[in-house]
Amino acid sequence: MKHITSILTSLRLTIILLALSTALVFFGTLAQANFGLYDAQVKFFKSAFVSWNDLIPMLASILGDVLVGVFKLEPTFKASFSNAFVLGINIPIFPGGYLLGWLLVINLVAAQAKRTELTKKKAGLIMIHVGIVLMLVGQLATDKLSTESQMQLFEGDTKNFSEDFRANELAIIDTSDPKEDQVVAVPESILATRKDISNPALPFSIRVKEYWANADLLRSAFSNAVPANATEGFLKNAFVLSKPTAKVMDSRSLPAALIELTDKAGKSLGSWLVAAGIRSDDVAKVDGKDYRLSLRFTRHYKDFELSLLKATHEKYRGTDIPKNFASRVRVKMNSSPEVRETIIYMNNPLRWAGYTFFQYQMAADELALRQMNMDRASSTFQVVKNPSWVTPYIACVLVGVGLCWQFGFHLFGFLRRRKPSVA
Amino acid sequence: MKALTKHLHWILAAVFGLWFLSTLRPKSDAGIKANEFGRLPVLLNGRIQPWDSVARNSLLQIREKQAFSYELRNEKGEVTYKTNLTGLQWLMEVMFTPDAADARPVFRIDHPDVKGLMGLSIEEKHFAWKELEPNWQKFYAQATNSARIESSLRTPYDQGLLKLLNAAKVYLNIKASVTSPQIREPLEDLVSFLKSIEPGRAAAIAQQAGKKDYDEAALNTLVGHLGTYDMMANLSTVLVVPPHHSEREGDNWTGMGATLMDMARGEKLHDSVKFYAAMASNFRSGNAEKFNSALADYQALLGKDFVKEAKKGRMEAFFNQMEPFYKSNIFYVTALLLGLLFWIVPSEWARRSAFWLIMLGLVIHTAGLVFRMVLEGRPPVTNLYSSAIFIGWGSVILGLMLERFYKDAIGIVVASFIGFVTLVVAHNLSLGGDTMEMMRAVLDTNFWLATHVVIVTLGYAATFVAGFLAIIFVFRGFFSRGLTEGTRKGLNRMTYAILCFATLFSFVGTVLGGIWADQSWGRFWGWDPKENGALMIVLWNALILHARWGGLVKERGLAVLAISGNIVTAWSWFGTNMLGIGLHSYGFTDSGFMWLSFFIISQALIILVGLLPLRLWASFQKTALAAPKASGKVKAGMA
Repeated sequence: MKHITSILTSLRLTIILLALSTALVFFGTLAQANFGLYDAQVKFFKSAFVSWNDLIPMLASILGDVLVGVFKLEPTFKASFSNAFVLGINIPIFPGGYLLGWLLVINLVAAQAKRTELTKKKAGLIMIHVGIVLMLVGQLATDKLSTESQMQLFEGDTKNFSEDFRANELAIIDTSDPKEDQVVAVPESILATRKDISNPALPFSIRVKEYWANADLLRSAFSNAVPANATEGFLKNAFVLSKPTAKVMDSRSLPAALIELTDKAGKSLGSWLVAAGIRSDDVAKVDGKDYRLSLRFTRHYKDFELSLLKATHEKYRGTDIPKNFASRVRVKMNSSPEVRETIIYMNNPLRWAGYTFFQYQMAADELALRQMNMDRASSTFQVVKNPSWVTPYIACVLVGVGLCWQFGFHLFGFLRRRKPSVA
Repeated sequence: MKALTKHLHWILAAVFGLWFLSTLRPKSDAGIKANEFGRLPVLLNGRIQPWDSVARNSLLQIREKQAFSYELRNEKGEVTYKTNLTGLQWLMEVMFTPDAADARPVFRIDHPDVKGLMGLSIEEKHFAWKELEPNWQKFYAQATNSARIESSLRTPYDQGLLKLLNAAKVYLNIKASVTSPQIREPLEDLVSFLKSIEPGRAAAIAQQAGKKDYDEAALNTLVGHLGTYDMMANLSTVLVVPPHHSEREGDNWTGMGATLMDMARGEKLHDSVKFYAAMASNFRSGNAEKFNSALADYQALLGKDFVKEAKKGRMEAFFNQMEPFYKSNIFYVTALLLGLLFWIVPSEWARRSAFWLIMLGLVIHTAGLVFRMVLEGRPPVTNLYSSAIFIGWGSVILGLMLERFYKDAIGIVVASFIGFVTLVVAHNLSLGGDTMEMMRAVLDTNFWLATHVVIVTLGYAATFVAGFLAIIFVFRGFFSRGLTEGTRKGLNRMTYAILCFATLFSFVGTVLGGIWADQSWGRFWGWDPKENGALMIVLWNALILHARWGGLVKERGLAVLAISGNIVTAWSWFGTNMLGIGLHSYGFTDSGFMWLSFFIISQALIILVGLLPLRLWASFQKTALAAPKASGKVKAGMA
């Protein structure tokens, strides 16, 4: 027991953990080029361990890159070199963010508890370390508790839901009731398994014939695009160009799927191509009822609604550099008739109903996408709910004051010692 | 002699200072007032700037130089022809006498295959527009192909093509900004255009109404003019014509081509159009007097309605001429040499001169920094270029502070060396074009730029200073006998103190960045590459400090860890920006990536040297031979 305590409180452990953290952050950053920002976070920072297959082949691929450059090898060498390191089983090889984070917290708390004497000289150190523990725990809480999604509106639109950044869903909407739509939503992750889907609310079952994680839809066969071969609907004649999943920050994969509906007897009712990011009003008529089909960004319904009154997008004169995005909005709780109007712009969010609405700056490709609906201006908001948002603020005040305190002691001590030789 | 060496540092400082002041005198114009012209404001890249800046930034992108000098040699190597043009003179030539400009070899092409494609000589480096034109179609087809390739997958050849394509765009942009090569006599052309508007429009209306007897000749004249202006409008993004009312229309400047076309739609003639046409015509005919009088007329107009813009033009032109970062670098290099001299031959005059030269260099460096801030209306760091300048500035100050305490030229060498290197880095970053570009909407906040960015950048600077102190430790210890006990302890203390600074700044800076992100995007931490880079610096500095506090490293260990800090910082500063390029195939032939790799490898080698057994270190040899027991002590203390 004593042995364990002495390890847990040791500075040596701190240093090992700091070194491993530095390396982890480095690997996790490199991994973003391979896996994309989100997946890299999950694999490296939001996990207890990093697995061999996520780390070693990636490092091998960088080495392969260098070898290709130095020895003027065929560019294909890189891929085969890195593939040579892929293992059949998944074994943990490096500590992940959660493990290192917890170990750091334990080490910090244990070491402070063991060594702390409450003196003026040590007050700085205590503040720094309490702050850092708070920061680590706060980040964990944010990971677990916060939600982020987007609201995308055209001028004049009102919405009572936000849309997920990454997740998509196949929505089958029964519009027969004029008051309320009946929605069956199938998460993309289920589509990706390509299993047959049925639901008691639906008089048919869904077979996923094709699924593309990220795809461009084209009018004609360009490059490696393949015909989707749908028998019905708006995208009947479209071609699908499969793409690697999106990796850059603020860009998302737009999946597509070819689905076939079959009735209870197993007879085909036709097949439809559905694609995220494309608004189609495909309707399947089954048993005299209309069912709207759409593959859309997963929706999170709210107990309020937000209307976009006016969207402004200014550029610097004579350039394409965005100068300002601003939106005039109106918000209203479902439970209350009261409305509120305000302007949201860059660096000036709206905090309301437990959510924070941030004006989102569109990237070039998004703007281009938007131009398909050029007639109306549009705006996007990041909708964030983060109950632990305040922890980093407290933490950083603690650490900042502590650091100044601590180094202040050092600096003044140093200056006092040096004084005679300067004079 | 003694008196001389005693006061030598004052003399040196005075000579350098006077030289700098002498370069500030505005250059006088004989004949055509080119320098006056260079101060006229235009709107480009979303900001008001003088023609002088347009000239320099264009030439930087085309030729990688701010001026044009050129000589021809015959077979014997004798110079047969020589010419020197300032950026401005070259710009005016391109705008007003394009035929002459087309014959100047200004386009720098490095990739041999690009030269091959254009049928150019492989030995030459610079080519004239005339030489490029014959194979332009072929080139353009290939270059547009390269443009479609994702930037991370482009080969050096693709990059070479795109670089030339960009240079050509810049060239055509200025060529079409005021007048067009198709216009033989700009003033006459303007008069003829003005005359053709009324009859031309009447004819056009008649033709549209289906009348048979419209004035076809008048219509053709107008359409002919408009065709030329339309081409100018398509090629040029320089907005040269101010709005009619500065108060009401703000930054609503327009391009010359678009302005002329608008006049055919009934917009009234802006006087500046007239003045520019007059300047163009008289530049072509070489009539200095008339050119200068048109210029003076335009200046008078600006002085009346566009005081702010005209002032900005003059100030920025002066700033360009001042070249503060180039000139302070001359001070730093000289000081570096003197500092090194002091180490070899400890003579106080050298150290003192170096100190005062760096001081003067710092004054100029600071003046440049402040000048830039005033011109931009921004805090000092707004992009990668200005971060290099600021890191240099911070490092110089830290180095001078160390020197003030220790007086052993270590601070001098650190200050001048980092100052020199970062300013060279900045120069290379400036080759991309305008360094005062506008800030994208989300970055458009002076509060966070002033706090987060400045503090985090100071953290970079401090980490570099600590790293270079450590390099001096290793170099002096291993290669010379200069690492005496006193130097060793001093260096150690300096490194430690600076590392404390570095930790404080990088931590506070990083956290402020998180707060900014939380305020603007709603997430404190997003694991974005740049954020991660800053975090790595914090973690690494914390590691070094804990290792020292825990007694796990002593002097040498601290030095080795601090040198590793250089790698971490360089990665955060540049590596994260190259993540897109560097990690995909071919990327590492990109010159920035090559230099970064070179830097990292060099640091790794120094670390290896630092890890060699102490008996191989020159500074420990004598003791080792003379008194083996003492060496044992040293070793114990050094581990």
